[in-house]
Amino acid sequence: MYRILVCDDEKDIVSALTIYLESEGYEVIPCFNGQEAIDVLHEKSVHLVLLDIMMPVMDGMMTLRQIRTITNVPVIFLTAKGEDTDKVLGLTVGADDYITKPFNPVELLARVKSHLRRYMQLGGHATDEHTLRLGGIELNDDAKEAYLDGELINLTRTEYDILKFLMSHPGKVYRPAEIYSKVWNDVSIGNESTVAVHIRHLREKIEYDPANPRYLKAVWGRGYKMEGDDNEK
Amino acid sequence: MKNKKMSKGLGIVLFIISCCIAFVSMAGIYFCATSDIYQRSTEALYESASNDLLNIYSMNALSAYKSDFYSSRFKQSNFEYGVIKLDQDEDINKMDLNNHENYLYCNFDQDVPKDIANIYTTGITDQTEFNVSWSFLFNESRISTPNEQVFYDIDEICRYQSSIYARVGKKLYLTEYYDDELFDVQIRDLNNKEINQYTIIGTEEPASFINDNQILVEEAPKDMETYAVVSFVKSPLDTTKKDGFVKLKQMISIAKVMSYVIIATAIMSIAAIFYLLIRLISVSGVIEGEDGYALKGFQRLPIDGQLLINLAIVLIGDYVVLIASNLNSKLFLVTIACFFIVLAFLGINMLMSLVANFRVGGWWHRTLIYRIWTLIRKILNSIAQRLSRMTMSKRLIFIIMGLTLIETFFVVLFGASPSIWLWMMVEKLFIIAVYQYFNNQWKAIGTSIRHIANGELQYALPVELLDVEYQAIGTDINHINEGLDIALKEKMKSERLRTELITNVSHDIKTPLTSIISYVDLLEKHDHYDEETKQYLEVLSRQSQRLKKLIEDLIEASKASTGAIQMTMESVDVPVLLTQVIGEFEERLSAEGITLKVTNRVGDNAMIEADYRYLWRVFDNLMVNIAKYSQPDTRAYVDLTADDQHIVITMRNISKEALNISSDELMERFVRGDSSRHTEGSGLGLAIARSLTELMNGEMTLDIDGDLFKVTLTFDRL
Repeated sequence: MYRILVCDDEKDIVSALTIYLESEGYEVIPCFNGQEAIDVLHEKSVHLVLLDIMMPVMDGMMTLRQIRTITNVPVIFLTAKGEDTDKVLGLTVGADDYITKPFNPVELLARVKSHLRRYMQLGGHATDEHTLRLGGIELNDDAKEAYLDGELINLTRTEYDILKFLMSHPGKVYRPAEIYSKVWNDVSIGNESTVAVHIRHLREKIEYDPANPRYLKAVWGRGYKMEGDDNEK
Repeated sequence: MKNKKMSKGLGIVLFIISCCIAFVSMAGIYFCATSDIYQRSTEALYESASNDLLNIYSMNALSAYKSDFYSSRFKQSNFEYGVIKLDQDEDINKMDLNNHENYLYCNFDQDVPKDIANIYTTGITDQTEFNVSWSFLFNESRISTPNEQVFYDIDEICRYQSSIYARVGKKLYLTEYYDDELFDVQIRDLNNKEINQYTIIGTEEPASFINDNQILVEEAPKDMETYAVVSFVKSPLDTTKKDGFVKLKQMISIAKVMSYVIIATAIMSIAAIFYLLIRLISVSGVIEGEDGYALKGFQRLPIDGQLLINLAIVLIGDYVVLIASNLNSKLFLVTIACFFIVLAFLGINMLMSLVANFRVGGWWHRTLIYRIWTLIRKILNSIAQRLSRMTMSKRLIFIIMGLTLIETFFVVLFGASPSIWLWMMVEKLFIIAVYQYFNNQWKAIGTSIRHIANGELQYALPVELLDVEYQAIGTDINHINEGLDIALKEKMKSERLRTELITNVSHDIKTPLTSIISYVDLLEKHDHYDEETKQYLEVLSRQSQRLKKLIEDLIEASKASTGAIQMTMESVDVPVLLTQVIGEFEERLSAEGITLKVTNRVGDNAMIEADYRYLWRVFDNLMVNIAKYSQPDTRAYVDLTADDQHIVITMRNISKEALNISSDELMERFVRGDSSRHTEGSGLGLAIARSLTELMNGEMTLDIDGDLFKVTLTFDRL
């Protein structure tokens, strides 16, 4: 039974999160400000922290800094501040993930699950060379299977190849023509839009919010890239 | 054609001939008038002319003084003459000319008719030269005896009535010197009484000073013998003898007639000149077989150039004539005739050229004066332009150089002392120093303004270092600085407040919304509801999702329109972008029954600068717009075009609803093409797209043409 600390000054949100998490079988410790969370962490061992940023007494950033002096449990920021700069700052301070409010419950649970698994299995499984991992995405090249936050994703052969190709070079931008020639093993003659269509389908499968992709990003006018969360690079 | 051409040349030739005739006639008339041919009778003319001829004959007779005075030659002539040898101081007028003993030789025996007789007297020595001829026209016969040069010692130098005389004994020699030129010697003034005691010798024996004490006098030689020839024409004239007098008589009667004939010739030739002049002018500039006027050959030269050439020819001709006149009289006549012909030709040619040039027009622009003037103006203009483009300092240098040139000119002209050069140099250095002083001040002021322009508002101009005149300006500039600084700080503060407000409001709205969405979701997870409750829950879920979308759009729109978005500009390959647009939206559009047609009219090389994340928002908004508002079963077009500076992407679709609002209104926030507002959406899509485009230095315009909806995105080409 994993223990999850939920910290938010909004009581309704804390109880909603509690309902979701408990329905998945987790034990939830609710807190309503940063100081409380720190106090709890001093007393109990926790497997994951869900942390709001804008809170009274001690805000999320400060709290995270203090948490990191105690433990290295996964911390997921949960905030209404959706700015890119906020995300980067949060991840830099030491957060493991970032979920914006209003959140999608399915996505939230999937991420919690994924981080718990990784945290708990850390050091247990040595990453073998047939497994590619980027953020919550895991690729098992032997089985030709892809997992998003531990869930198996149904991919076509082409989608799998594209994903594998992009994941093996995270952060690098590939032009549609380059992707075509690598994946199809053929010279592209105006087939770039095929790539674009496949990528869109792929994105719908591996992203919770395809309009704001986390992993498979379209760099407009240049191509596509796979990108994990900043701290994992 | 040929005929007319001939007539022009012929006209010129006739003109020249007429001119010559007119000139000769006029010259004849002038000659006749000056030699009284019109005024005097034939007899009177003959009388005066025969006197001249008698002189010539006398000279000829004397030239043979050593033999027989041509006595045999005059036998068959009307020339009656006798030669007398005069002793010194003997007066021919006092001699009895009828006494034949006085004559050395004489061919008449009657008495000398005193009224018509001619007496020619001359002195002869061994040195005497006889230049004599028989012709009676243009006769230049002369008998000349050279003077002897004798030196005399002067007794004294005298002055009488402002003339200077050298006295030698009783003789006073007139000298060609005047008072002020004379040497440093005593000059005695003579009175009237004294002057009568002396004999004055004038210019017939010219005297000149050798030194203070001697003069050189040219005197008649001592051994000179004086001869006189008394002559008259035999009366009555024997016309059977073919001598000069008979010819003279005939000639004078002819001349009398001719003198009237040439008047007629003159009138006729002048008339001819005028007629030809009018004819030639009328055909000047006319080219046969062509309309209008044109220039030919010499006429094409600039008018002033033609005049100069003509002037040069005339001057050369004049010089040639002058040389010829010094050589001999016949050559002179020939050259002056030629010169006159040339003059006439040049005159008519020039006149015709002038007329032709005036007729054709634009002659002024062809003249040398005009061209030189244009050139000078061009040079002056370019100098002025260069000066105007120069900085003040360089201009000052040029002005000083110009001034120095002018000053040097005047200094050289008036031959001023060298110290003026020094003064001029000091003066220039002073001007430069003063200019430099003020220029530095201006530069300091300029620097401070530049700092303000660059936004460095903290920059303070050191006012105390400025000249008194500029201190007020400096103080004002510093005040501007402070004013701007305050304004800017306030603006930055309000900008920050606004951004903070947006963030805070968004947070404050999102927090309760999170609860709503979460709890609606939790409610939906239960399955023991009746149908009605399920429907209500579905509405709650949908509307809360819509509220979420609206809030996100609203926040984004306000951030985009206030520029509170940080753009990371990168180069973007537009053809790749088009491919991605197809990939992202083709299926979505065809789900709505819309066919997407993407056309690249540029090729592979089309780069712009943009932030790809926000470029995606722009395209997403616009393409979603097309998907939402297009008439099903129509086509939507995305075209890529470009020029040298710009990349233009146009999107066109056919609207589902009638677009009865303007494109400007449509771009406003919260305005949608459908007035019913039934469909999903915030109405912010176009406004956000435009704000983001502008933040990426692009331009987005809307065009509505009936149901055709057209969006144009313009970016600077890289």
